[in-house]
This record gives sequence, structure tokens and C-alpha cells, in this order.
Amino acid sequence: MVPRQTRMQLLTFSIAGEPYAIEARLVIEVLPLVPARPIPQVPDYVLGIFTYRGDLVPLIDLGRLIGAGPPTQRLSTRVIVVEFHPLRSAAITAAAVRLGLVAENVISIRGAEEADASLPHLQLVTAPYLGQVLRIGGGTVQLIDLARLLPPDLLDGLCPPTPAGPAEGRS
Amino acid sequence: MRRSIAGRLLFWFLVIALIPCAILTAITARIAASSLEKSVRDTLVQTAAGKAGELEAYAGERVRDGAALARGPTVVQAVRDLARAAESEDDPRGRLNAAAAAVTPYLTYVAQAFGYEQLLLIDKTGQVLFSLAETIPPGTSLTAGGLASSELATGFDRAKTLLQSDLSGFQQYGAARQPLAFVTCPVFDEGRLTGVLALGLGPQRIWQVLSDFSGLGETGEVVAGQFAGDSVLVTTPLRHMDDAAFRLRIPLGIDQSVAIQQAASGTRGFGTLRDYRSHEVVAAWCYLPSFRWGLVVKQDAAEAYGLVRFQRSAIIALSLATIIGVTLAALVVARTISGPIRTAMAVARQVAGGDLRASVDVTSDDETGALLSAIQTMTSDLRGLIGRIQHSSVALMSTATAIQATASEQQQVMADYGASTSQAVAAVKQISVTSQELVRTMTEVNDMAGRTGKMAADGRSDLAGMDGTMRTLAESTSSFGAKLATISERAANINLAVTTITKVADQTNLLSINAAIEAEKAGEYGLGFLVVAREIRRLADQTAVASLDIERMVKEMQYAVSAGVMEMDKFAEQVRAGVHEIGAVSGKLSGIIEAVQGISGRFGQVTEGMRAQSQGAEQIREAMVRLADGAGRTAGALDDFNSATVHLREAVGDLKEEVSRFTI
Repeated sequence: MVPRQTRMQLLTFSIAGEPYAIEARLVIEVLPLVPARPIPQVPDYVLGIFTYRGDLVPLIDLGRLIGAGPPTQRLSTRVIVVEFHPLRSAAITAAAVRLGLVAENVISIRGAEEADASLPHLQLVTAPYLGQVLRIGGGTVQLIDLARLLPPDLLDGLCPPTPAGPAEGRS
Repeated sequence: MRRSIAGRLLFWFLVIALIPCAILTAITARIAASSLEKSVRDTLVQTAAGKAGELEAYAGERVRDGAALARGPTVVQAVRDLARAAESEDDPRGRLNAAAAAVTPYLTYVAQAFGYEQLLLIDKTGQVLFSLAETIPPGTSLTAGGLASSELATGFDRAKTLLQSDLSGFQQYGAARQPLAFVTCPVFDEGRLTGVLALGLGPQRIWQVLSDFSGLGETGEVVAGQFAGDSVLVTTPLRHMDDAAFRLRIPLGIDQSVAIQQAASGTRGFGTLRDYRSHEVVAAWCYLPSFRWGLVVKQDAAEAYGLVRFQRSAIIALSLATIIGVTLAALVVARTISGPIRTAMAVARQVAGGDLRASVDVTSDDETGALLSAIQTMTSDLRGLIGRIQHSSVALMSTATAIQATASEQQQVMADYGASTSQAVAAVKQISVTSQELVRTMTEVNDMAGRTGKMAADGRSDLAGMDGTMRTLAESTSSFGAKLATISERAANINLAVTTITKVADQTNLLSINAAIEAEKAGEYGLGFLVVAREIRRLADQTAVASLDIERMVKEMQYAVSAGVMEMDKFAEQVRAGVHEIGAVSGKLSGIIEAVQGISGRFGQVTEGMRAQSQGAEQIREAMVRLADGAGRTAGALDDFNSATVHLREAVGDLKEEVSRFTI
């Protein structure tokens, strides 16, 4: 019943029609598009905060963040709730933070055994969050490096590092 | 399992502990044994050499003393006087005694001072001139009688012929207390040999040297022996046999006391062999040329090599203690390792059997404790995951049931729609037939009007019939419009259902993604569920495609209905125009009757209108056929959708069955 060993699962989605991906192990859940409470005085790609399982989680529009404009309102446009350990600007205990990411065409998970990671890791100063480019099937997919997604001071502001850290509500 | 781990641990513990220990012990034992043997050998050889040197020095000293004494003027004078007395013609015995009495005090003093037991003065013919002790009386001849073959006689011959001092072997002489050895020294008077001085030595001084057993332990001793015919005569009292001196004889060639045989025959050596008691001994031997004795220094092998035996038994005891200790340690270590592994195995078996209620008591904080705690965490995570999956599958099942209900409803709607379409087709067909009939009638009217004005009256009644027919037509048209409105409404309902299906497909897709994410987090245990999630996602995709098809077909249907409505409007207008024309025709019929000949052209216009009507009806019929076609395709799509829903239900059923295998 158990198939061959899988190394990595990728959650794929599109931004402006181009395929991107996030490692599935960093994803907590995929939700339908939810309304967010706006926050003043932040970049336009921070849509606001929303309540997820009792916590307040920032909602980020990946389309606007990458510079492709706001997403189209479709059923497949969804919120990806992720949890990861960020690269803090100060030497504080790096507690895990949660973010909601809005992206289009969030409809499939691809096994990484299909992927060929031989392409190099991108190193762009203007877009540090662009990770490896993987080859899946006939096309390529851009891996998003969550730890570098937001500037560290903005992330600190949105998710203040507290000693207690975010509550571990998962069983 | 346990036996295997314990056995392996025991084996490797023993290998690691014992191999170096055994090698080290063997090397040490060998070195110690050889060094001990060397030290025993050194001790024995040095003792033998020391004693031999001491005795040789003693013998040499005695011989030099004797030589010095023999050259003294007193002895020379005494020999001269005694010889002369012995050769006198009258009363040689009395003169001899007188001469002896003259030298007795001096010689007695000399003998006592040097520790001689006997002192003899012998003339050159072998006759004893003077004797200090009674055992060999004066006048005894050494060349004849009992003493002819004695050691003393041999020493006398040697002194007389070699003209130098010598030491003879020990021998018992008459009733003497002990055997004596003689130092025989030639006495010269003015360069000529006049006699021999024989000095008797007791064996006590030699025995004193040889009885010193210091450095030879409890069983060591010194044995001296000399050749006596075909045997070796032991010349010292022995430690283990006090009265052996000059009594114990060891025949040559026997395998006992080989050492003394070899020593007496003049060789020097060392070895392990058997002594006169048949004990195994370590012995060193050498030859004493002055005494012509063999000297053996020996010690029992048991005592000499006692330390080696002690060391060997100590090593064996130590090895046994090491084996026992290593075995106990290996068993204890194996127990501490295999205990938690057995617990983990039991829990894993329970989980493999589907019972997830298993719990583990974690007591230690080492690696095995970490293993147990990891199994505990894994089991509880799996329990939560399976619980959520069971919950989700129930929800999914109810969703699938809802989809199927919707699909059934939709099929019902489609059936209604098909019935409506059939009615509409029948109505249109009726319209078409009526129109054709109308055209024919009009043609006939025209013909009749053209041929005969007499038939105008008939034509008038025909017009009345036509008016009724036209009314029926108008009614049918409005009924048809109402049916089309119903179809449009049903199509809107289908759209609503399709939207619901699309939402369900979307929810299913979302569910499958989240299920796949959870499966990813469950690691290896989620692989099976990952496949299920992928299947669900595929079903959702198929559902979405089916709903897209339905949506497209409904749009086509709506388009066809709109076209039909438009055609109907046009037709109704034409009917109204027809009615209007008929009215005009009817109003002018009186005039027509009056002027039948001029009427013909107007009838032509009516016929033209009727033809247009007929064409309109034909167009409506074609639209209706297309509509029926669309309905058929929709029904086919619904069948596909229905079977997809059945697949979905089956998949969810499989999922539930798979998950129900686990007990939470």
C-alpha cells in the first residue's frame, strides 16, 4: 500500500499566470478567501489581519508583493496559512510565526520526486524571497523562500517576537 | 530479539575484554617464566662456581702449606734422622722410636696448628718412618701389603715421581674415625729426594663449605662425588640423606643423578633432570680438579619454578573473574537496552494491528526513552489525524449524498424540460401544418377568385374559417411563448444547481489539498492517505469539468430559447399582420365580390404573407429541434455527472472503510 518514499510535497499556485510553489510541510491549512481587517500605514500588499483558530494572523497578497497586481476573485483564489521560523533582525529566540498568503489557482499538491532541483538558487537583492527554480513535468516552478518573504523589520512589526511565542494549538 | 542482543553484547564484550588480556598474559607469563628460569640458572651456576672456587682455593692452600712444610729444615732433618735410624744395624726399632720422640712435639704442633688429622713421614722406598696417629703405624710399607693400592700410595708415587706436592683422594684407612685425603710433598735433602711428607686432611672443612645451602631454598643442596670403579661415590653428607657420605654409590649409566655422573667425568653443565631420589631437579655442575670430584648444585624443580606455577594459577583465577564480570555487565547492559525496545515493539505491533489506544510509559531519558517518547508522540499524532480523517470522511459522505440528490433533481428538471420541448414541437408542427393548409386554401381562393367571381361568396365563408384558424394560431403562439418562458426558468434552475456543484467541487478540492498537507505532515504514515487525497482531488477536477460542460450546454439552450422567442415575436407580428390583412380582405370582400376581377392581385399579397408565415413556423421548428438536441446532450452530461458522483461516494466509502480499521 505504501508507495515509494517521497522527499518533498509542493503546494503549487499561480501569480499573474506564472506557476510558483511553497513546501507543503510549512503549510498548516488552505482556506477559502477570507475578509481581513485593514491595517493603516503598511505597504499595499499587507491586506490586514484575520482571525485563524483564535490567533490574529497577517494576510499578505503575494500578487501585489511580487508586483503583479491584485488577484482575480475566483474560487481557486485562496488563503494559504503557513508557519515558519523567520530570520529575525535582532538576536531573539526565533519563534515560529504564521502568515496568510493570498494566491491564485491554489488547487494542487505535487510530489517533489517529479521535480528536478538542478537549477540554481536565485540570488536577487530586490526579491530575496525567490528560491530554487524546480522543473516539474514539462514546465518550471519558482519556489518561494518564506523566511525571506517580508523585510525583517516589517515581519517584527506584524508578528512581534514575544517570549511566550505563538500558542501551539495543534494536536 | 533479547537473546540476540544479549548474545551479541556478551560475545563482543568477551572478545574486547579477553583477547588483549589473553595476549598480554601470555607475553607476561612467557617473559616472567624465562626470566625466572634465567635467574634460577644464574643462582645455581654462580653457587656452583663459588663453591668450586672456594674448595680449589682451600686445596691449593693446603698443598702450598705442605710444600712449605716439607722444605723446612726440621722436616728435612727429621727425615734424615729417621731414615738413618731405620737403616742402622742394631735395634732399628728402638733408634727409630728415639728419633721419632725427638720430632714428635714439633710435628704434633704443626698438625694441630694447620688442622691435619694425620702426619706421616715416608722414606723414598715407601716405608712409613713416622706416624702421628695410630691408624698407620710406623714401619708399614706403602708398596706392599694392604696400602699398596690405596689413595695414599698413589699420592706417594706421584710425589716421588713428579717431585711436586699433590692432593690425593679421600679414603678410609683402617680404624680411623673418618676418611682422609693426603697432601703428599717430596722432601729434598741437598737436592736429592730423601722422603715424602704426607699430611692427612679430614673432610669436615670441605663438608662445612658444601653444607652451606644459603640461596638454595628449602630443597637445594650440594652434592660432591668421585669415581670409584664403575660407580660414583658421594663424598658429602646430603640434606635428604645424612649418612650418604662415602656410602652412597651411584652406578654409572643409570638415568638417576646424571648430573653427578657428568660432573665426576669432568664436564660442566646445567639442566633439568632426576636426582638420586628420582625427584625432578634443576642442577648446575662442574669439576673440582684438585679433589678430582664432581660438584653438583641442585634444587627441586617444584620449588625453583614455584613462582611460575603460582603466576599461572593467579592468571587463570583472574581470567575467570574477568569472564564472570564481563558476562554480568553484558547481561545488565543488554537488559537495559532490550527492555524498552520490547515495549516499543509491543506498541508498534498494537498500532500495526490498528489499535491506536496504545500508550507508553517513558521512564528513562536516554536514547531508548527518546524512542519510546517518539513512539508516544507518533501514536497520539496518528490518533488525532485518523480522528480528523474520520470526521472529514463523514462530512464528505454527506456532501456526496447532497450532490447526488441535486443531480437527481436536475434530472427531473431535464425530464420536465424534455416534455415541454415535445409539447412545443407538437404545437409548432400543428402551426406548420395549419400554415401549409392556409397557403393551400389561399391558393385555392386565389385560383377560385381568379377563375370565377361566383365563388367570392364561398371565399367569404372561407375567410371566416381562416379568421378562426388565425385566432387558433395566435393562441398557440402565446401558449408556445409561455412554454419557452418555463424552459428559460428551468435553465436558470439548472444554472443554480451547476453553481452548487461548482462550489462543492471547489470545497472538495480545498479539502483534498488540506488532507494532502496533513498527510505530508504525517510523514510515512500519511503516504497512503496522500494517494486517497490525490484521488479525491481528481474527482473534484472531474466534477468541475462536468459542471463546466453543463453550464456551456445550458447557455446554448438559453441561446436557442432566446432565438425561438425572437422568432415567435416575429411570427406573432406576422400573424397579427395576417389577421389585419384578413380583416382588410374581409372588409373589402364585398367590393371584391362586386369587382372580382380586380381582387386577384390582393389575394396574391395574402398568399405571399401566408408563405412568410409558413417559413417562420419552419424556422421555429428547427429551433425547437436544436433545443431538443441540447436537452439530450444535457441529459448525457447529467448521466456522466451522476456516475462521477457515484465514484465520489465509492471513494469516500473506501476512505471510511480504510480509516475505520483504526481504533481511536
